[in-house]
Amino acid sequence: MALKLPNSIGGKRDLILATRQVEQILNDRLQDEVRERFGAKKVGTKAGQQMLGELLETNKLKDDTQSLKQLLQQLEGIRQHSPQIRISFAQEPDQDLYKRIVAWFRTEIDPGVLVQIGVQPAIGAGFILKSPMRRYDFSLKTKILSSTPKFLEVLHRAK
Amino acid sequence: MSLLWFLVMVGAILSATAGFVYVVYALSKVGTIGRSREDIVGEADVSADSVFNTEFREELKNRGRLHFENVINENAMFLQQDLRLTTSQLNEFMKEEIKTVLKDEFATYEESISNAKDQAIDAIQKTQNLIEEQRALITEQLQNQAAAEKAEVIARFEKNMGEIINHYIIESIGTEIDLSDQLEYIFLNLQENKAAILEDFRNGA
Repeated sequence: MALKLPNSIGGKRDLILATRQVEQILNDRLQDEVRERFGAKKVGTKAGQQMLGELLETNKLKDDTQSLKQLLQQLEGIRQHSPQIRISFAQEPDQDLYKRIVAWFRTEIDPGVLVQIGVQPAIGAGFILKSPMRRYDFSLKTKILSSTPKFLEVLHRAK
Repeated sequence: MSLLWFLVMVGAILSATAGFVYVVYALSKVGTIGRSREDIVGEADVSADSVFNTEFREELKNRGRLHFENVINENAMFLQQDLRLTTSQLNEFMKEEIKTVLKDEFATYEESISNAKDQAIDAIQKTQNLIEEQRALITEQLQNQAAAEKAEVIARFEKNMGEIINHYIIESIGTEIDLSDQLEYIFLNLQENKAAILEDFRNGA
């Protein structure tokens, strides 16, 4: 069964962070198992567990070492093979909007797609989408620039 | 006036000469009949010596000298008057001549000045004309240049108008347009291009 990424893990950067988090937690738990075996005091983990929690919940996995190992392998597979898309806005989207955009791509395009968010203030408004094959420009800047003949027409009419 | 004095003086001299001739002639007549020429001459010499003795000759000399002095004095007076008159006339003449010469010179000078003035005015006029032509030329050139620059600026403005407006709008709105306000536009465009994006994924994967 293919691993489903939660919408909070949208892009490659999030995926790498999640992988490191899972790796850290797995290492800490392995250390604790060894300590337990030798009667030493458990240390626990200091790594954040939010991403792991979402991953386990989304995929309905158990929170044990075996599941974490499988999770780690699947995350690595996704990082290497999943398609990527980049979408740029004039400003940084908030978390809710980010999740909605990621959700749309994973629902409508590909469940394993990694969505990278970029910021280009120069576009003013709208967005620019870079798919594996093409570039879609729905920015205000391009809209204005493509309307230059109309501006000129209006300008000459106003003379 | 001087001529009159000259005539009087000549008359006086002629009268004296005539008297003298007459005396000589009268004296030569006395006792000349029946005598030889040599006797007469000898007698005349003796008589002449007795008549024209030293006192008489001195007397004549004195009289002649006095008369001559009078004549000289009178003539000197006349000469002085004449000289004054001549000097006066000469002054007048010189004045007139100087006036004429000065007048001519002034006329020449005025003419020269006038010519120089005309030449200067002509030169100034030519210079003014030249300046005017240059001014007109420069004005035309400047107008052409200004028109060309204006056209160039307008062309550049029109060419870059999109960029200018874009820059202006983006500078003006900044981050005023919130992304949440653009959601509908974003998802509408994504939905409209969904097929194309899917196609990209199929081809690009």
